Amino acid sequence: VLGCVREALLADGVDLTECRLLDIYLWAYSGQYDPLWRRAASTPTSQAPHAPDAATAAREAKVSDDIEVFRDAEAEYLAWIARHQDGS
Amino acid sequence: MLTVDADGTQGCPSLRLRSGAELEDPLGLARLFIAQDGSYQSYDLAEVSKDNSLSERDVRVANRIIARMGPDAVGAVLSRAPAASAALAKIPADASLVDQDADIPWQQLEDLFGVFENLPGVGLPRLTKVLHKKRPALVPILDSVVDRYLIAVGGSIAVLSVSVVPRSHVSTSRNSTPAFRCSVASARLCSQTELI
Repeated sequence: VLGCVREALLADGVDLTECRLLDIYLWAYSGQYDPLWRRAASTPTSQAPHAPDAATAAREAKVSDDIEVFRDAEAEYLAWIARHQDGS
Repeated sequence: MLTVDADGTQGCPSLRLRSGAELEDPLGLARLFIAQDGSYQSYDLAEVSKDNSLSERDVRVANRIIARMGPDAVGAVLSRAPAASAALAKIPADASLVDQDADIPWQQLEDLFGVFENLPGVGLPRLTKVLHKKRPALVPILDSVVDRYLIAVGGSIAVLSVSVVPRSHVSTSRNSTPAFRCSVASARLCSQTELI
């Protein structure tokens, strides 16, 4: 399937590798994160995203000790990235 | 495998993730991502040479997909640039995880990640966001979302270790290089068993 998607996108002039497509799909359908673009998708799924369990949340809290996390805060994130175009 | 409906609409077969989620129109979803997600414009379209060098710009591109590396982290990665260049030189630019296993330069890939051992503040999420652009078909982005997904669907303990030790690279000892390999292999396994 990934190969099919990659080939079709290449025909559109878009070069996304199977690796990257996998990343995109997992991000969208992992149940860990609900990106804005997916919310607009009309394609149904057989399983709705679920919230992280307590262990996952605790693990994530550890990950996020000294970094800024944007969860369900796309506007804030977009504002952040606009202020940090070079990532610094 | 690409199908075309009577009205000319293109499509690819549906795919099911091990989590149970089924994507009925993966091509449409990819196109939606391209049209609406800022990371496509800021990260995927960013020009990064697939050569063997590792420049400051190459590293900073990762920040366009939320790597959030400050000057210290960027400098830390760049401190290994000479060794990274040597390691990249041994990996073909078009090497891919969808190649036959025997054709995948596993050892060279391990060597590349080994270059970045013991870098404070630079874990697999940041490192893979940098190196994916250098070898885009070979290096998946292994961030916390993918990590948690792999764990949720029965990923290996090695993948878990990436999550438990997020602030320092997983390859902090000789034993951890196989852990990275398992991480990549798990991602590849997903692609082969679920998506292809």
